[in-house]
Amino acid sequence: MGTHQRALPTHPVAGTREILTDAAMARYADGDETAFAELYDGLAPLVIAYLRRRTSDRAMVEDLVQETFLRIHVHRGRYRRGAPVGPWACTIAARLLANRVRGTRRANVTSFDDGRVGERPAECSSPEQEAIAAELVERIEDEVQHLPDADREAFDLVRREGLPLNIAASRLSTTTAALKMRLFRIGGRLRRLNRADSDPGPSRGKKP
Amino acid sequence: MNSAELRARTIAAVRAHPSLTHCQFRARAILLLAGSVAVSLGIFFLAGGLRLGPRTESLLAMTMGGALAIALLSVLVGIHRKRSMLARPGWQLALLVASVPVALLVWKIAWSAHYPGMMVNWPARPGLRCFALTLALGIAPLVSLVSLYRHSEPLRPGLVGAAMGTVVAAVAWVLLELWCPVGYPRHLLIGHVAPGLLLALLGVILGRALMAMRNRR
Repeated sequence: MGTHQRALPTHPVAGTREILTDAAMARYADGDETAFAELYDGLAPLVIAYLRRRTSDRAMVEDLVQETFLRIHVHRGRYRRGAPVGPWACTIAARLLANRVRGTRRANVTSFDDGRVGERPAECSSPEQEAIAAELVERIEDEVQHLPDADREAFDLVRREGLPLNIAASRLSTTTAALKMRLFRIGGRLRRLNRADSDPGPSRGKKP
Repeated sequence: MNSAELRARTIAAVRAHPSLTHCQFRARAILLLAGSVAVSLGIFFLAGGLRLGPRTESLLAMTMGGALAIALLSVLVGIHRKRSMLARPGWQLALLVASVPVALLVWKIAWSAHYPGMMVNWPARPGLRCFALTLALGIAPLVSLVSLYRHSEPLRPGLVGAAMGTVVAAVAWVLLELWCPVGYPRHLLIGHVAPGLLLALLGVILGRALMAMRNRR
């Protein structure tokens, strides 16, 4: 809390703006519906700037700005007169952003670990992310096609068809331990592909 | 989307969602908290209310007075937020959760030790009834508090819930002080401290499940 309060600008004009925004919030909490527009005008630049410093995804920023104001609206009855509304709004925005990022990562990991290569790998929030995800799926599919026959067969049986390890091992005429090792190796290869995709290294982009 | 469109979309979204004003929320909070306190007091009086037992009135006054002071202090730190919409810093809440049970126990033992026969073991009273009564006294206020802050904690909902559980346990300790004359340390640990820790743990679970701010699906 304190860090947010300290992070707020101390310029006299900005201070006046904060006071006006806090006053608008107080009126809005008391039931003055027209104060919301004033609150939005005073607070939105702060929330947008805060979110833009943390993500470059414009669609996500817009979505989170709307959601942040919706939360302020839903919890307006809890507003304490005199409490600075800026740090509250920024903390809500940060939480919503963290939730969104965590949700997207979880969706990525789940679909990747499940080996559902042909499915949509993540809950995409923008066309750019959707395109990146589609490209990743294509590259994984391509990588699977280039695996040695034995590896590809193992991957297909366990990851795509969902056979238990012992049954898949007997079908492939191998042991469960050897099959596990094989799948671990394939997983590492695909994970490297995923990492390379998400890590924009210095050499990337120089290639034709 | 430009900023004017975003503004219009946000205002339209807000208008579509009903929300409580300050007065409505305060009325609901008073009703909810008063109801839960009434439930706790009802349970306390059904269990027998004030029981002096072998204690002197001065011992009861000192142990209860100290417990009341600690409970009020815990309410100030754990629930009251001064002029802020956010919970207190994590270290303050963690300190509250760790120190309140210890302070209550030390205060009780320190004063009981001053009075002859107040620290003796009561084999027939291991503390199970006190354990159950503390939980029964604390559940309703804890659930009420958590429900007042439903889906509204952007920071550390688990720790905020633990602090609420500790505060509720401290207030329950005050009522238990009126009811239970035993000052034997093992009884105090089982019947008075353990349910307080359990309420704090329940606060963590309820806080994470109910108070955490989640995104719309």
